[in-house]
Amino acid sequence: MAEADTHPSSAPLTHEGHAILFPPLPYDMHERADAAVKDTALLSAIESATMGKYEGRKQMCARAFGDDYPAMRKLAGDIKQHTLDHLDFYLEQFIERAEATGAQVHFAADGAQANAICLEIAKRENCRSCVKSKSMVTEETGLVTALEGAGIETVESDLGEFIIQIDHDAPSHIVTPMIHKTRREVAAAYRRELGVDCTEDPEELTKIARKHLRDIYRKADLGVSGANFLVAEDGALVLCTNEGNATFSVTAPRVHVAFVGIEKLVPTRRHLAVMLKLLARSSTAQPITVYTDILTGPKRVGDAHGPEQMHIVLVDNGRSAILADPALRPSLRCIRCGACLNACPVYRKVGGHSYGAVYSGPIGAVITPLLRDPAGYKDLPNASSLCGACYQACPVHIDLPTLLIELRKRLVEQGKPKRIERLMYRAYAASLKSPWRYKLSQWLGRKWLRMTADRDGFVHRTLPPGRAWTDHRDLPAPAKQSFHQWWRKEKGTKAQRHEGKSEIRNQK
Amino acid sequence: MSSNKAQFLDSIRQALGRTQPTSTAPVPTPVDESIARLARPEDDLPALFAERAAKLGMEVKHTTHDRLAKALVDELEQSGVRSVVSALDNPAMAGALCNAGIEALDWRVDRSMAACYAADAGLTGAAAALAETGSLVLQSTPAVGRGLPLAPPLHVVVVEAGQILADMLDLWSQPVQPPPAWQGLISGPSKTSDIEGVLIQGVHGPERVVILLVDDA
Repeated sequence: MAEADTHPSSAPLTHEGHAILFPPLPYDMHERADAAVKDTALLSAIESATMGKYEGRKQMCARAFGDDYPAMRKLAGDIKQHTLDHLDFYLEQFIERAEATGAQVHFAADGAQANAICLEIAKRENCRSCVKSKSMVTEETGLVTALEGAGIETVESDLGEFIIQIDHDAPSHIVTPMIHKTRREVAAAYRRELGVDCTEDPEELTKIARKHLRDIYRKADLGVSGANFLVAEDGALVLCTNEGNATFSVTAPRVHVAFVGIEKLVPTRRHLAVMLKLLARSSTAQPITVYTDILTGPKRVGDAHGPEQMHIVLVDNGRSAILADPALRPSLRCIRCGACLNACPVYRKVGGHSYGAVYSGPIGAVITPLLRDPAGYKDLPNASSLCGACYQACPVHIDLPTLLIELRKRLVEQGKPKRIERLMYRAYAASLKSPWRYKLSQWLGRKWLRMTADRDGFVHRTLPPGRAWTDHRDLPAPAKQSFHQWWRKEKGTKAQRHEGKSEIRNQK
Repeated sequence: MSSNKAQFLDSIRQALGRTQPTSTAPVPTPVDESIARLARPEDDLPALFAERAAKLGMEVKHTTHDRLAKALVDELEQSGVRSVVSALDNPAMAGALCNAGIEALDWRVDRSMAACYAADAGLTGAAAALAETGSLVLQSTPAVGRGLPLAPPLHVVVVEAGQILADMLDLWSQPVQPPPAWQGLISGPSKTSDIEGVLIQGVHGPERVVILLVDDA
């Protein structure tokens, strides 16, 4: 123990990954996405982690809910939607009940206000060092930077976030923040930042962090957390982790400050149960997280452990504007399980940092423009194939593809489309004006693509604007004859006898 | 702060298209148990709990009231435990620990976090257990603190078969008034797979959780 205290971790652990999540706006995601799709090590790391969780979720949910899985998602979605539709009532109820347990509730319209509230509490209570559990809202507000700026040493306690912090990196996944990092990078960061001698063995690396963080817990007088849920009926704040770091962070220090987005409410503990049954299954294919802590107020008279003060900072930071927009309100149902990231073929190819924001993946593509700046994040709603896998995966039944289309529609209505876009759509519209024009354009297109195709049957490089496609992907050459031609030829013969079904599927 | 609160709530109300607080409480979405319930009271709860707790990575040892003290000592000796903090209010067990030469600190004597950090194992009971998931339910009371199941590398917990509830919905069938400052659902040893997806136990909390399941039936 005494030895661990001597390691030279004196360098302040600042959050230099800030620029990754807060790029200058407007943000063009192509540069980072281009780099990511060429990084084979990154791709295989993300692919194996996300696909494992994707398959695991499906199995776990099928095993638990069977044929009722869609109904369960619908139920959870209805609960969250109802709470959002009456958020004024439930918030007021929550505030009243939480205050009755001895918690102090604060109100922050934006991130700066939230940080200021936390700093004020820290200053008033004379807190010098802080241990923090994982919280997406604090990423939004940049709380760690604010605390360090005020001279309060702040250490992330979630293993992934801890490693990201010492390596001056930024999280790239809502649930598994260091999904993009290898054990080699972790070991290098440990040697450089913690001054320890270590191998690349994950077990050893984890145990070093355990020891290091034990000292932090003992020392910290401020514990910061987020919340997975708030319960209106009794003012409870719920934290879900697998490591137990949140439990520690809100048990050891004498002051607890929780940052919570206003959308985290559920009406009662029974509603909480519905959410808990879905959260970990959707997130990491577990029946429930290892630690589910339900906190109602600071420690009671007679309790040995727990903070003397509990502060709950309710954070708006753009949420009420989403709430005011009924078409987009369902995006606030999100319980941050990360299932849509794992399901998304785009996320799996470009990784979280390509989104240039705290929230990545399909839900990030929806809420980032809304929380930050729609014009500044124009690429995000378009970074989706609209395949619907995210909708299928979402435990609270958020119809993400529809929300993405809605955002695209608004972007088109508000902004000016590019000249090339207008030209293309004009040409497309002209080709649809009559059957012969359609046939001619199809014939021309087919001829041209077949001419540019290589012998392997793929177009590897073509003229702009088609080059935007072939720069990254090979385009399969079209078939020799169109479906129309084939149908006309076959209709009178085979197709009539076989109802045409299998032939259509097999047509080349 | 109160004007701040009024302003804050006003902005939410406005977002929902209201100018006044709702006069009647909304009726929350009913929880349809035919969908949400995953274990039933008529199930074989001890068996279900034992099976699922094991699946979560906890070690389940079946025992009876008569053999509990011996089961505890056996477990601690096998684990090489030399010091414990015990919140188990059971003189027979205290005696057995003493006879086995295990340094047992009574929770009532030293309730500090420092004692929890120093101990090889924390011994507690449980407020309830859940067959649905195999989870333990602990609560902060003067008789047990939240650091005890958390800080030592080994957590040994005594669960009586009669404490096992079927489903989370049963745990929260009605609001607890007043609720304890902390209610924890513990569902396995502390775990991470942050580094390249490799599963490792004992990140912050205990590496092992041993359940002594007392079932005299």
